[in-house]
Amino acid sequence: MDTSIFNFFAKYIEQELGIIYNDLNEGALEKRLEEIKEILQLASVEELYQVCSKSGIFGHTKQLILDIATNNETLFFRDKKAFEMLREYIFPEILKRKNNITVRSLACSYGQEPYSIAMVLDELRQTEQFSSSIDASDISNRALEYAKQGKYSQLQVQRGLSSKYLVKYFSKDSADYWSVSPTLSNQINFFERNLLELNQERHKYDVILCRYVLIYQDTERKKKILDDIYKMLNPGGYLLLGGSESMIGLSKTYHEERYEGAICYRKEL
Amino acid sequence: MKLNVLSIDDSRSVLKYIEWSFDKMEHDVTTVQEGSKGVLMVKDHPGTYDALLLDWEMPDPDGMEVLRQIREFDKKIKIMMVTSKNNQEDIVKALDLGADEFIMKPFTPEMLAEKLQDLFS
Repeated sequence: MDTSIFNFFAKYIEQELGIIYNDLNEGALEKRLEEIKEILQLASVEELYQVCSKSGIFGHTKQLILDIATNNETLFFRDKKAFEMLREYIFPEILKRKNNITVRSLACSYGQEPYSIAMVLDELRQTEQFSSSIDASDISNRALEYAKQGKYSQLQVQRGLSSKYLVKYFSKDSADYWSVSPTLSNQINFFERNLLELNQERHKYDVILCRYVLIYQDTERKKKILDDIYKMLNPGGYLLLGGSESMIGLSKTYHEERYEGAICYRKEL
Repeated sequence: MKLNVLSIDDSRSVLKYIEWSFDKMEHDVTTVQEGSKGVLMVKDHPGTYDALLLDWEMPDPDGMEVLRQIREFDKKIKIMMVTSKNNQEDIVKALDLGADEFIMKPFTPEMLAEKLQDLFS
């Protein structure tokens, strides 16, 4: 791809989302721009560049670029150890102190993460009495619409979801899609939020998941996001990052706790 | 954890695909085309196989019958049904009969590896 085209879109995406594209992931951006070009029925990425650089990026094109740049691929129960930690360590500890649990899924993408949390909470409800709510946000409207609909293909439900959960919490429609049951969807409130605007948040949570998204941010933005999340946590609240992500060099306000190979970061009680 | 897996499928091409998939994994696979022979292999070598990949749509005995027969003498072996059926009632029926997991065709080697890992995690 022409360097000026790459620089133009990479700069725009970084300004809007804080997501950095450089020479290491140039191919990924090129693939995504190709996809946008197809959707907009343009002849080439060069034409997309000409339109955007001449008239500016707004409306449908803006939404498409932001949607596609955020890479909304995910699976159910991604990183099983984190969900074991929620089930066996974090939620039971919270329930010793109070009888309601508030959870936030940041950058929830197509919804697999909040639905996985809802399944864990529903199972826990078989033995414990408590109330719970899950807020789930993403910057991408396209991903949020998908998540709200809660309809997944055969291929998607094969990723991370056991057959036992599949038949318990989903029902298959005539078009071969699996729809999530209202038991789960009724627990989740989906809305749009940019990770760079978390300072606007007013709600407090016992558990916040912010997984596999900080990797796309530079160090200063990572620090700011982690500071904002700290303010969103209730005392004693927990933050879960992705399995390969770490707090090293980013924040000293959290303290680390470990359970069976999984790590979480906690606010003082 | 290295697994020893037995795959039963009447289609030679599916078995070839499964063998090719296992070439990319650390696990071992043995393949067999007849359901009745597969039942005997599990029965005669107790504890040898950690998991069974079992085709549902085979001629007599079909996958459900093989599942039923094996569960009569072996409750421990993990059984994953390999199928192009994705009817909810059928899945429930097989789970009730003692199947542990499903993988729907078509699947990639990565999906098979993920499912196997999940079975033993």
